[in-house]
Amino acid sequence: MANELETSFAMTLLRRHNLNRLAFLLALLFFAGGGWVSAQADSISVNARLVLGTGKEKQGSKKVSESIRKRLAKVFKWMHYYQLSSKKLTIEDAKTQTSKLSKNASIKVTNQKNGKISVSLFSGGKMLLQKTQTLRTGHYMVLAGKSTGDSAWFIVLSKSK
Amino acid sequence: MNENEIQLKVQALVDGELTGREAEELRQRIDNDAELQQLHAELTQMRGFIADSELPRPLPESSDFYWSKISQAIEREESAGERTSRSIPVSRWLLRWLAPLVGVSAVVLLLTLRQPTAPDLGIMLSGDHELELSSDEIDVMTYNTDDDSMSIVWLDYSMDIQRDYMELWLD
Repeated sequence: MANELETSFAMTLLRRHNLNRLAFLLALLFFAGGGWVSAQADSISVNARLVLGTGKEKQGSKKVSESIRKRLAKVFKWMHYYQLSSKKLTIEDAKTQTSKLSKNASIKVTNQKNGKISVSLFSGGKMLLQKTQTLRTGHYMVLAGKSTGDSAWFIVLSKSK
Repeated sequence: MNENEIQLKVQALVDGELTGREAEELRQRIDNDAELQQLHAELTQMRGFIADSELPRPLPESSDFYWSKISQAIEREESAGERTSRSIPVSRWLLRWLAPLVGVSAVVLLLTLRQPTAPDLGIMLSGDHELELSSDEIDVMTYNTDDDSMSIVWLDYSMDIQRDYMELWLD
């Protein structure tokens, strides 16, 4: 709809100011490009990581980024955090994407415009909770709980750049 | 014929209501009866007084035109009465529709106000954070860092993610 209006506006300009065809095409490309950029601006990219927090070091396992480890270790007793899986979700405005992080755990993320996302956590198909917040770049949304032994599970969500 | 009936007959004769043979017979009887003669004379005199004192009331127009005017006036009043009677149903019609409408609106409003609200599992956190739990059985704790750069929801819900994760890959 917006592109149709822009095209109509460009046609009016062409008629009024007698612009040549090249100028018209350039103008059309400019407006169409603007529409594409604005459409892209509505989508959001979210990184979802499944993290294991433990007191014992696990050789060969992939460690989480230092930024996440520091933040989690500041709050929780576990000192070692390993990333079991990571998914990148690119979600259009007002759309929802589901991602399976383990056999039983999955998340459903909805882009609610202006950086606000709604995350539903499912375990074995049953929804446990839904959290909604604005996710800014460099900020983290963490859902966590106990796991077997002296360990914990974390689902860490952050906004991709 | 009793005395009263005879007096009424004399009165009718004076008023000109008796004609023909009946009037002739009564005149003969009056001629032979002094009391009846006196009554007849009194009634005739009385009638003369009344006729003299009554003011003449001539019609302003011809009688046909006069009565047609009266007839038209009656018709006008009747049609005005019909118009009045027609406006009453409009107000009644409005009342008939408005009253139920107001009643239904009041019931709807009452039901809306009394509608049981959904179980409030929502937990308002700082900023624009909202948390909704699907089950009351799961305990949660929330934590936000001072700079709001990390929000944590801790669920009292155990998951063996290591085994789950391995099974996901084995599937």
